[in-house]
Amino acid sequence: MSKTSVIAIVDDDEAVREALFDFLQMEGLSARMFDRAAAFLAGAAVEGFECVITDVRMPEIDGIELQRRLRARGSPMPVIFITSSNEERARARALQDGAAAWFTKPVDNETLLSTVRAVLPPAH
Amino acid sequence: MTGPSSIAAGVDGETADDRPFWAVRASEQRYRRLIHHLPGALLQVDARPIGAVFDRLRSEGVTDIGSYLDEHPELVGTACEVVRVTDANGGAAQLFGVGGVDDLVGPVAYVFANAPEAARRIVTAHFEGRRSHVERAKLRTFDGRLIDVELSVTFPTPPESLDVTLLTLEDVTERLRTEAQLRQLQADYSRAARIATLGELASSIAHEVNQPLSAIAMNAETCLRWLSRDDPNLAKVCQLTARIADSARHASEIVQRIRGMAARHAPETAPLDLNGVVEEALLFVCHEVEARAIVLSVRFDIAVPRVLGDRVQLQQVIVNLLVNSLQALAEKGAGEGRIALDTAMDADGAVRFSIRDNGPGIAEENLDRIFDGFFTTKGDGMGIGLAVCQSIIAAHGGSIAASNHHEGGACFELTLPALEA
Repeated sequence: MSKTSVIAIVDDDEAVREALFDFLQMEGLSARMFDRAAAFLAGAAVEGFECVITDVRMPEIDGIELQRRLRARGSPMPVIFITSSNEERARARALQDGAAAWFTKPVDNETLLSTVRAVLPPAH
Repeated sequence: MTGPSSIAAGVDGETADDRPFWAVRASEQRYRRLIHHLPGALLQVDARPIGAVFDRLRSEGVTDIGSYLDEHPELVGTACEVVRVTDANGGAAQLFGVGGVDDLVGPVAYVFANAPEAARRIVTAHFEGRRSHVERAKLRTFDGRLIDVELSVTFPTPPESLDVTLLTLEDVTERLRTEAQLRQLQADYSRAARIATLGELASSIAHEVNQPLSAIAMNAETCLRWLSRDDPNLAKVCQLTARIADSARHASEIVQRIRGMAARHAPETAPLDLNGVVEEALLFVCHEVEARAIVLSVRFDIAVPRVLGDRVQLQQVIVNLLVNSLQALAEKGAGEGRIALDTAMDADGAVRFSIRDNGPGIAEENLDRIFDGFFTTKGDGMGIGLAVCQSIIAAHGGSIAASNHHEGGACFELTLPALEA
């Protein structure tokens, strides 16, 4: 990848993570993959990402907690949730914490793509 | 014999019976009356002709009747023809569905028409000089019913009359049918419990299956987009297609596993490595364990002896105990819940599995009732999970016990007899 990664993909499921990565790459969007929230949050590059796409159910730090920690640091980074969980409580919490979008699997790629493009700065 | 007015006389004959003729007759009549009025089915058989054949074989040096019968299987048929029913009682007439006992007099072959193997074993027992022999056999009655009987043969030994071999028959058809129904009922019951357990894991299972499916959908979409371009990246398309195949296989494995648990299956007993059974059971809950960041510690004694059991049922017990622990940890935050599993061999050689969690434990007043059917502390529970666990473990000759760990949390321990030392 020539450009710096703008999208962080956080998902504990390798197949899901890679599928999303390849899809975004094909659309010319550069991304970096993290297998857990802690790895993403620990990186010095957190602030460099323009957007994070995450699952909700993950070991240790789940997607909701990930967004909460970003907000606690004062980061307004757009968070897009893609989940197979249909828990209304989690969804309400996510949106309340300022989630950019909440998708239920299987996600419609076109909608996902336009949402991602919408939250990224115009240069992308 | 030495008295002045007596004479000594010797009489040649087959039996040495010094009772007067009328006394013998009276005794025989009493005996016949007794047999005829016995409630069970009884056949009196004269097995002397085959005894004569045995004597000849022994004089020819035959000692191992088993291998002799392997070479001369026709001897069993011969025995069924030469050994004759000489008398029977009303119970036998009823069992065989004939009008009178005379219909049963004749070669014993009709008893064994549907059970040649039983006939062979009885011939063997007779040759080996056993006192009695019991068989379970199928029998076709004269009015066409196929019934299951328990057949006991009592061979005479001197000084008893050698012409009286007794064959008693008990119709166990109804008993076997009831037992089969009971087994079926138990199988249905444990299947219902398995399905209930799967139900409790439903959202976890749905999530688990959804993962590979959503990866497949997205990869397929990406492939299509590449292919519709003027400069398709075929290497990428190849890679993505391989990943689609992998994910499809993964999804299918999950479905297979769930189906194995939900399916109706006849209990099968096989030697099993309990560690392997526990590992397979863990597959059902690992997703839930990971998603809730429960700290799972597993300590297997790799040297535990194998146990004899039904894989699906033992898996069911362990999955059930795991689900209970997971539910006991519902209030724990991420990373706080703990489940510890271990397998070990007891001092007396039995195989032990234990599971412990750090949940609230079991209320003391419930410890005695926890395995009772329909006892539950869950709002939406049916109270059959642990009852079924206990009946499965009991059917495997083992035991299961619940306790609270002194450091807190519930502890379940089951032991199963080891197959080999």
